[in-house]
Amino acid sequence: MARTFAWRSAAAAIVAAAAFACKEEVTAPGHCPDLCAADSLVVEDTVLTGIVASDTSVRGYTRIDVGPILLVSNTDSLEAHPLIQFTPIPVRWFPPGIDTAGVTIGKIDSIAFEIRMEQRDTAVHNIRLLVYRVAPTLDSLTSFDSVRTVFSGSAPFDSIPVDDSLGVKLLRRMLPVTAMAIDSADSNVVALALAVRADSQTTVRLSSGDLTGIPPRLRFFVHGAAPRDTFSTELDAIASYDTYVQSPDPPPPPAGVIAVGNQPAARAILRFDIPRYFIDSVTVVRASLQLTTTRPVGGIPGEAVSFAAVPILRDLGGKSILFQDSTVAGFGTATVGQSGVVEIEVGRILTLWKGISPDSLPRAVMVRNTAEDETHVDLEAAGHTAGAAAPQIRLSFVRPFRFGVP
Amino acid sequence: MRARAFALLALASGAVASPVLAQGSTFALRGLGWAARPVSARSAGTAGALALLDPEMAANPAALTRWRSVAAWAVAAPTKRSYDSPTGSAEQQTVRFPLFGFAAVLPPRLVFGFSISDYLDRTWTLQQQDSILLRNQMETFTDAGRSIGGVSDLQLGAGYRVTQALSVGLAFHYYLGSTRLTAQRSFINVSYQQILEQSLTDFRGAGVGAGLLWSLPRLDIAASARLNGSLRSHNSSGQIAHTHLPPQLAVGLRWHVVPGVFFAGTAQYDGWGRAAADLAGTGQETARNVWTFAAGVEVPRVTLIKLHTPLRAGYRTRTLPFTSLGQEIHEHAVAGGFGFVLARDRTTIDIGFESGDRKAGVAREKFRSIFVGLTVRP
Repeated sequence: MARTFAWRSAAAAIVAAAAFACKEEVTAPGHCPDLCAADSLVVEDTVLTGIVASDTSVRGYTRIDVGPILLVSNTDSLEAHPLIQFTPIPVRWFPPGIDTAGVTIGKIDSIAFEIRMEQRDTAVHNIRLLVYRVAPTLDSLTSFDSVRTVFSGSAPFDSIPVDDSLGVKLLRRMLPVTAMAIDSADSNVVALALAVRADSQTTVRLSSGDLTGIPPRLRFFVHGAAPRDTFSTELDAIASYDTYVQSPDPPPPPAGVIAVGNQPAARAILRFDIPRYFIDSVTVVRASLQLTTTRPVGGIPGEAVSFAAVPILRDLGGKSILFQDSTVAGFGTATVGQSGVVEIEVGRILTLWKGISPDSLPRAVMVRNTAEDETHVDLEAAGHTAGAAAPQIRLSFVRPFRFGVP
Repeated sequence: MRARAFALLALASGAVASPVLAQGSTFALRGLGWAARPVSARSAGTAGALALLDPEMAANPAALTRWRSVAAWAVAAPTKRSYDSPTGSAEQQTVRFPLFGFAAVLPPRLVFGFSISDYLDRTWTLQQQDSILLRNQMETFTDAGRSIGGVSDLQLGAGYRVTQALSVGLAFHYYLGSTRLTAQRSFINVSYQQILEQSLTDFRGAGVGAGLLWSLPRLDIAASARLNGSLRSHNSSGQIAHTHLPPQLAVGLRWHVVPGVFFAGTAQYDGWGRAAADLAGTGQETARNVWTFAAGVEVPRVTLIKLHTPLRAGYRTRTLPFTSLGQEIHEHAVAGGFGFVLARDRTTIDIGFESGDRKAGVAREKFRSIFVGLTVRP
């Protein structure tokens, strides 16, 4: 009897193993016309013109004084100066083993100034960052005009050379101590301003103290006052407030122009009127929004930037609610100096709109610089009233597949 | 009790999995699909030579009278295939559940049977790489066509024992199923989005069959005929097509040559030529009338390790009804098998093996299948 049960178990195991041990691999190596389905996918390409019903550009999506960059520029089109106010220098410090009176600062031996360079035009040589003292009263109301005299009426007390071989670098310069006198009337606060000089006009982008881990910094190497003048230490002051002032400030985007980027950053809202057939009936394979620039893309030469077209959930003008799903956003790139057509891929957005009424989901996108906090690259393109230069969409699509029966 | 539960579980799993997993051949994308072989594991061991005498199969309703008690059966058939043609090759595996059924006896002469079996298999996936010129640049893409599904044959049959030697049977066949067709294109360049188009096609059809089984002292003779209507295909875009299904005629015999050894043979005619005009009208490959021949031997009275273990072998050849680029598809296979009779003849496990190939011009597909059949007679 026991043997019978054993045979039953063995037989059941064979059945189960034989039936379920295989894995499905049903792919055939098809090569038409050997083994081919009845129809085939045909990709068609067309350009949809006149599909932007309106456009609006709005500036002010970033604030310079809380952004992560500082611009210094001496070009004809832009003069910019960083302004950096540092944290107060302590009057004493407390080395281990010293009583609560601590060690009062007696003598400043040397001062190092550190600031990180993020981007520059590598074709421009012999760049120097000119360093000025400014009154430590900087705030958001400080304007270009309010500090203009610093640069026109006085000479810099020092300058930081930039090696021609460097693109990105933590710049470090020992400043003359005599020019960096600390005034207790200013609460031991120091503020600096920068300008740039080079063989030709140029713009340099520096890191600010906001949203970066490498703020501008002053390192004070000091000795104590007598009788504790044998003690020495290093005291750091980092930027407590930094910004840059520029002239001219970018104007509000004029009507009929699609403006994106710069500082404060602008964004453009494009509202589409695309024939329903190309939204609801075909399968979009690729859709490229083509913007014709009205002037070359601005910024630091050699810089590349990514532009994004983000679908709008509710069209409220400049304060529109955007889709937060980045997978449906479209992207395109441009390099500074580029002119002609800038393309942004919007195929996923057209696919998103498929089957949804424009009343429920507006057929509109907001175009912005994906790094609008971190660059001052600006794009200006012709708006919807510009005739042949107006935005258009190059569309690659497939018409509905004709599945046959049987 | 456990054996019953196991049998019911096996039947249930077959019912759920069959439509999805079935794929019989790379040639399944031709015409209406691959003409399936819903054989029992016992008949598979003889290459189908016993088909018309096997009560588990839907080939001859008169054979139902061979049941003496309530019975249920199911078959699983894992298959490995290798396909070769000048344009590519592939190794493929699949598991099908081609047949399961149930029969009830109404003494003294009548037996009812219900079975679900593969009729047409339309499961395939096709891939090819190519490139096209888009926006003045060659773009590489991969096209994948996929069809999942097929047509099943639901048979409700009755066998009547006229005399001890003569049985007749009638069956009603309802063909139904569906396929989900997918056309997909993926570009290497991520700027281009994937194309995915889908369609669902439903199939419906009906037929009637009749058969007889005549048992002489050393010879069993069986014959069956089936008349089918047309298969209505309706896809999700609203297109409708009707395709005539073939009439079938089959004869088979089993000859008790020497004590304990049975020789069997079957010939079957399928008039798929009826469908030729319908398929040509939809741009499909044409169809033609085809024959299937099988011959085999069974030695039922073998005992191994105190278990009743019948042994079987056979050979078959057939032509598939749908052509590939105008080339006929021929299929040949050798088969073997054995069985275990367990639980005092209440449970039978049959194992069948089959190895063969299909050829269409220079394209060739080799296959090896295992048929595992479970029959319970509680």
